[in-house]
Amino acid sequence: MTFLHKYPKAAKVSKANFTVAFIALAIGGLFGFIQALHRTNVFRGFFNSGDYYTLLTGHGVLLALIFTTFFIAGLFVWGVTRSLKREPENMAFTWSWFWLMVIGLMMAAVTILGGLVPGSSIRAAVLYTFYPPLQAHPAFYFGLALVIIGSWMAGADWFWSYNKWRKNHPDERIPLPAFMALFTMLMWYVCTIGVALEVVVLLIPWSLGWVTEIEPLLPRTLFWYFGHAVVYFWLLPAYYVWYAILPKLSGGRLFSDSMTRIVFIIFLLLSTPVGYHHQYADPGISVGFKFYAMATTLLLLLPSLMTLFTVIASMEHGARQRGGKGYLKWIGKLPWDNPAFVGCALAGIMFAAGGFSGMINASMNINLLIHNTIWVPGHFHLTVGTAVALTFMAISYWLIPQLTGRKLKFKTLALIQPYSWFLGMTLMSNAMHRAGLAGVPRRTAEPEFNTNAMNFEPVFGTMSEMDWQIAIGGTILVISLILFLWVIAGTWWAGEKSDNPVDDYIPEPLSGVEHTPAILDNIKLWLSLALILVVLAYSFPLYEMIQDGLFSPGALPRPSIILHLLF
Amino acid sequence: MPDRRSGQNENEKSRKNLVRWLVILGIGIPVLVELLTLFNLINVRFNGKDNEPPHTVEPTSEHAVAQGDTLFNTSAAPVILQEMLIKVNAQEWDFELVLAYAGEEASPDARLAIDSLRLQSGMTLTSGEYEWETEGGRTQLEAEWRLPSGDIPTALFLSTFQQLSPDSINQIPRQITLNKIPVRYNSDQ
Repeated sequence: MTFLHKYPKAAKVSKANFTVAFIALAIGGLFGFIQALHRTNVFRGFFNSGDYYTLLTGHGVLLALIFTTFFIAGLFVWGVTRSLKREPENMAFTWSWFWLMVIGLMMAAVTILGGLVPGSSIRAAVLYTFYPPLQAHPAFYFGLALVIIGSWMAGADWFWSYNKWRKNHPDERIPLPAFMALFTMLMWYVCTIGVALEVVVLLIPWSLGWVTEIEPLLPRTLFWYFGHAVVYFWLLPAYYVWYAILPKLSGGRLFSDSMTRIVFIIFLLLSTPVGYHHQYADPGISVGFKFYAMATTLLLLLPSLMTLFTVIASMEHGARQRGGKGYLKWIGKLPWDNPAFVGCALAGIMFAAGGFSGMINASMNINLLIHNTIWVPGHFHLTVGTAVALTFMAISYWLIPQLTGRKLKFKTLALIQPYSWFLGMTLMSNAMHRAGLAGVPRRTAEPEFNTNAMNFEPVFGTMSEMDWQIAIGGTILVISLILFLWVIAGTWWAGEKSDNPVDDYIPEPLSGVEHTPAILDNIKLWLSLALILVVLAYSFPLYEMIQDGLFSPGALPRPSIILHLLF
Repeated sequence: MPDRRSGQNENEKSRKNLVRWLVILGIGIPVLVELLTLFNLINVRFNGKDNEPPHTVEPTSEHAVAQGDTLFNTSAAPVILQEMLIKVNAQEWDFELVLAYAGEEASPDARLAIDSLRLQSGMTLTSGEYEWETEGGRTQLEAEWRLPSGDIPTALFLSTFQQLSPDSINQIPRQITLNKIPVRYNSDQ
C-alpha cells in the first residue's frame, strides 16, 4: 500500500499540482535555453531582441513563481496528509484553491505570452520582479493576486487539517513533516503581506489608469519585503526534503528533530526583515537601515550552516549503516546510483556554493561590485535553479511512484539527469559569475551594447570563452530537463503498476521529538515574534520614506527621522 | 539459475560502470572547472595580468566613429554624428541615424548624401529613407533603416560633394566605420 491507495483524494490533488508545475517547468526552461543562446550571441534565430523581455518574464514567472508554488503545494499536500494521517478536510475547498491558482496562472501566462503576438496590446514584459516603472496589462496583476490568494487558501487548508488533528491529539507534538510545512506557510503569510499590498493597492489601480503617477520606491520596498523571503519559501520545501526524506534515501535517519525545528523557526523570524539588502543601490533608504538588513541577512547563515551540519550528519549515518568507514571514505558508500538521492545531494552541494556567492550579494560594500550584473542570476541559478529545482526534480522520482502507484521507468535516464544538471549548471553559473565580475549587465539581450564600459575586462579568460561556457551549460541543462520530463511522463503513463512502487517508509530521527523542547511547537509565540521583528525592521524606514515625500513625488525631502531623533 | 545470477551480476557491473562515468563527468568536470577558476583567480591576484597576452578587449578600428563624433573634421563642412541607435520593439529592429552639420551651412543636400549601409552579416542596405531638415538653425539629416533581426550596422557609405566650378561637382565616396551602437528597447510601439 502506497500513498495513492491510502489517501486517494490527496494523491489526486498532489498530482494536479505537479502537472501544472511540470508544464511551467517545461515552458520556462525552454525560454531559458533560448535566452542563453541569444544573449551570448551563439544563436539568435529564435526571436527578435525586442521579444527578450517577454521571454525573460516568462522564464522568471513560470519557473520562480509558478513551478515552485505549484510544486510546493503538491509536496505539502502529500506531506501534511501523510504526517497527520488525514485526507484534506473538505475537498471542495481544496479544489477551489487549486483552481483559483490555475486561473491566476492562466491570466498571468496569457498576458506574458501575448507579448509574442504581433500587434497585441496584452503584454506583461515586466520581469518576475514586476515593480514600476515597467507596467503590465491589468490581467497580469489580477492573475498574480489570484495565485497568492490561492496559496493562502492552501495554507489555510493545511492549518485546518492540523487543527482537526490537534483536537484528536491534544498532548502530542506536531509531527516533524507537518511542522516544517506549517512553519513554511507561516513565513509565507508574513512575507506576502508586502506583495499583496503592492499589487492590490498600487499596481492594479495604476495599470487600470486610476492612478497616473507612482513613486517607484514604495512598490520596490513592498516587493523586496516579499522578494527575499520568497527565496526561503522556495528553499524551505527543499529543506523539508533534505530533512524529512534525504536521510532515509541515504540509508539512515535524520540526525536531530530539535535542530530541524529550530532552523525552521529562525527562518520564520529572519526571512522577512532582510528585504532591504536588495535595495542597497536604492536612494531614499538610509544607510543605517541597509546595514541592519545586512546584519540580519548574515544571521541567516546560521540556520543554513545548521542545515549543512544536520543533513551531512544524517547522510554520514546512512553511509555508515551501509558499511561506510573512515573520515571521508564513507561518502563512497552513499547510494550514488539512486537518482532521488543523487539529485538531492548534488542540489545541497550546489546550495553551499550559492551560499558563498550570496554572502557577497548580502555585503553592502562588495555588493556594489556585482550589483545588476550577470553575477546575480549566476547566484540564483545555484540556489533556486539548482538547490530548489534539482531537489524538486530528484524527489519527484520518489514521489511520483507513490502518487501514481507505478514504478519509476527509464531508471538509467533518471540517473543521468541529476548529474547532467549539476554539470550544466556548474558550467553556466561559473561563467555567469565570472562575467559579472567583468561588469557584464544582467537583463539585456545585447549586453555588449548597453553599457558605457563596452569592452569588458574579465579577471581571466575571454568574453567569448564565457559566452560559449554559458551556451554549452544552458544546452546541457535543457537536455537534462528533457530527460526529467521524459522519465516523469513515462512513469506517469507507462510505469509498471504496483502496490509498493517505492520504499516510502521514513524512519524516526536519531534524536527524536522526546529531546525537543515543547516551546519550539508554540506557533503563536514564534509568529508574534516574527511580526514584531518585521514591524521593527520596516516601520522606521517607511516613516522616513513618507517624511521624504513618498506621497508627494517631486517634493523637497524633509530631514530624516534619524535627524529628528538626534536633534 | 546460474544464468540469471550471472545476468544480474552483468547488470550490476554495467550499472557500477555507468555510475563511475557519471561521477567522473557529472562531478569531476564541475570540480575541475571550479578548481581552475580558483587557481586563475589566485594567480591573477598574486602574479597580476602583466604576463598574459592581451585578450580581453575586442580590437576596435581606430577610425570607428560613435555617437557624438565629428566626421570630416578637416573639411570645410564637418558633420556631427548626432544620434546612432538601434530601436527595438516586439517585432521590429530599426536603425536610426541623425547627422548634422557642425556649422549653419546652407544647401546641405549639395554636400553630403548617404549611399548605403553595411551590416555585420555582410549584407548591404541601400540608402534608406532620409531628408535634410533645418531645425533651430542647424541643418540635419534623419535616416532610418529596417534591419534584419539581430543584425548590426558596421559601416556607413557616404558621398560628399565638392563644387569645383559652377557646372562641375566632384563626388568623393567615403566609408565610415561605425563603433558599437546602443540597442534600446522601445516598449511604446
